[in-house]
Amino acid sequence: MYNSNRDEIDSESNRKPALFTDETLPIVSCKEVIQKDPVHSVNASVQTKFEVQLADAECQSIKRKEREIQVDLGEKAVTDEIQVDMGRLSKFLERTAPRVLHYIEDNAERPNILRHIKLRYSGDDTAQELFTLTYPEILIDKEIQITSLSWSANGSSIFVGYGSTSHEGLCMHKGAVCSWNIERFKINPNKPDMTVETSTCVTTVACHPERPGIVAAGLYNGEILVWDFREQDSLIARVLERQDLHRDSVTSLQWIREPKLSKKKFILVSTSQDGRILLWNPLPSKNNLKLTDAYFVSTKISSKSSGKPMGVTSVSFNNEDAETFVFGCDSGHLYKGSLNSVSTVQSREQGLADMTIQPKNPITMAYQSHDSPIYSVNFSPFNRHLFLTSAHDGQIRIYSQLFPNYGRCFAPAQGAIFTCRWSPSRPLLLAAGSEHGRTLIYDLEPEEGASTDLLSSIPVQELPSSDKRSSIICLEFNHKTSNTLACGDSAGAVTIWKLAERFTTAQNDEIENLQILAKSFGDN
Amino acid sequence: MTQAEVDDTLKRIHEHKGVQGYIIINNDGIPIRTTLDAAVTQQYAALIRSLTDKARSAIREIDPTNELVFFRMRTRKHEILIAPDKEYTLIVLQATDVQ
Repeated sequence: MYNSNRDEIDSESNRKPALFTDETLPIVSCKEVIQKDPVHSVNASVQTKFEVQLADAECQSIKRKEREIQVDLGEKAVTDEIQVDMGRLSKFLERTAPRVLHYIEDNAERPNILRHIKLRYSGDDTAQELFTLTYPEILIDKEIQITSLSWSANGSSIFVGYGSTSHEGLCMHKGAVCSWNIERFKINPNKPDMTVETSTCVTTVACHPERPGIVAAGLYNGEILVWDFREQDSLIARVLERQDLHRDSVTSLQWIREPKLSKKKFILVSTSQDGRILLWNPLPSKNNLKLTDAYFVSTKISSKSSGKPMGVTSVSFNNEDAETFVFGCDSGHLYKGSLNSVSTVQSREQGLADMTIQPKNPITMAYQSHDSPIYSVNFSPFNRHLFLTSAHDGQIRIYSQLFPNYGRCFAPAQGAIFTCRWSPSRPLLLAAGSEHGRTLIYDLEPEEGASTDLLSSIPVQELPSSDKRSSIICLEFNHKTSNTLACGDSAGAVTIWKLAERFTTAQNDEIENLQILAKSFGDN
Repeated sequence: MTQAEVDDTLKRIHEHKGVQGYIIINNDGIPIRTTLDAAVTQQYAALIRSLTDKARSAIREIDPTNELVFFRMRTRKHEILIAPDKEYTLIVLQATDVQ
């Protein structure tokens, strides 16, 4: 044994070699403490029971502005409210009244002298040609020419009807109604502002005297059409009853005031080669033209003739007596008719009995006839007795409706006179269109110092047609601007003339001179 | 007093042969007395006032020492007599074709 102290123990001698051995530790296991519950799951399906409603709406915000306006009636007559200083007014009257009274008395003493002063028109008499209107496209068919003219209600547009006057059998032409507004700043004389084509030739055109836009036209096949050019669908009336239609071409159409009922509305009067003068109902009403009155003119009935129809070429209503009219016939006969006439028609002409209104015989008086077809008749707007006629025999006659024979006759030797019109502003002026291409203007003004029997029988002015050769078929004065005259000729051109002052402004005593003239017819 | 005088004078004018009516307008062109209806009166007042001014200035320009005293317009239907003054203007219408 050794005695060792520690140090000795730890001495190297006492050190034993360390012995390392592998040792594995036992596995320590622990139990799972988490409890696994089974997951609860349930299956279910959901559905909406009702139908799904969809709604679509567009919305837009609108800006609105409101303003109130009121029309104020003009101020009341101020005479009551103005303060008048009576003193000063009276002094004023003291100053002026004597002078005024002096001149009033002066005037009262010599009224007649000044009335007979005739205005001497200085300046020339030449008419100024404003426009020549043509429509080349429709004139491609060489047979087409102008058949009728009409100024619109306000006098600023002219309506022209195109058709042909030479037909061998059925009409194979296409007619048209064209209009130009001559007051526009720039008008194209070769292109109308508006055109309406028709199935056959247009023979006559008439504008409503008061309502702008309403135009009536008569066709070669007897139809009557009425348009309103302000409406989208312009044709507003035509004859629906087949038995009332004219059987031959419509020769003239006119708007006149309804004579029996209200006298406010206008009705249409048509005349035709089939001898009928028909009155149609006022527009607009139900888009068709309904016959309101009918007259039939026939040749004398005898064993040989069955009362053949006498073609009526022109009619003119009296300005003062709305129920009296004169009409001229194809045979040259001239008659006065009345809307009050109740005499029956003596004729076996077929088709008369079928008409919705039985025609009557309108004739109340016969006048001295022309020897050839009468082309135009026209009552004077200033005298209730005088009327004008023009015929194929080249004569222009003035009749008074009281006497059967004519009072004055002009024979200008210019071929047939196709149209004649009184001037709407000068009682003594008339215009006529001739076959040789001139518009003749006659002035019935008596020569100074001569009696009224010596009237100048030559025209005071002659206006040529557009190419100096073609006949003047129709002419119309413009009632609103009375110095404007439109002449349509057979070359298809409308010449618009502005007449000289002398032919448009009436003198003081013209109406009286016209009356003196009318009375003088009775002395012949 | 003066009212009666005024009325008297105006009546004398109105009852003269052929006189159709009269209008008195003041310097502003407003009718004070009239025998015609309101619309016609207004028309006459406005138009004749400007015509009177033009006539007056024409005479003044021709001769500054002269002045317009009275003028008449004869038309086919009637004669219009105008008496302008510094305060009022008297317009009288008289028919001329009195037989």
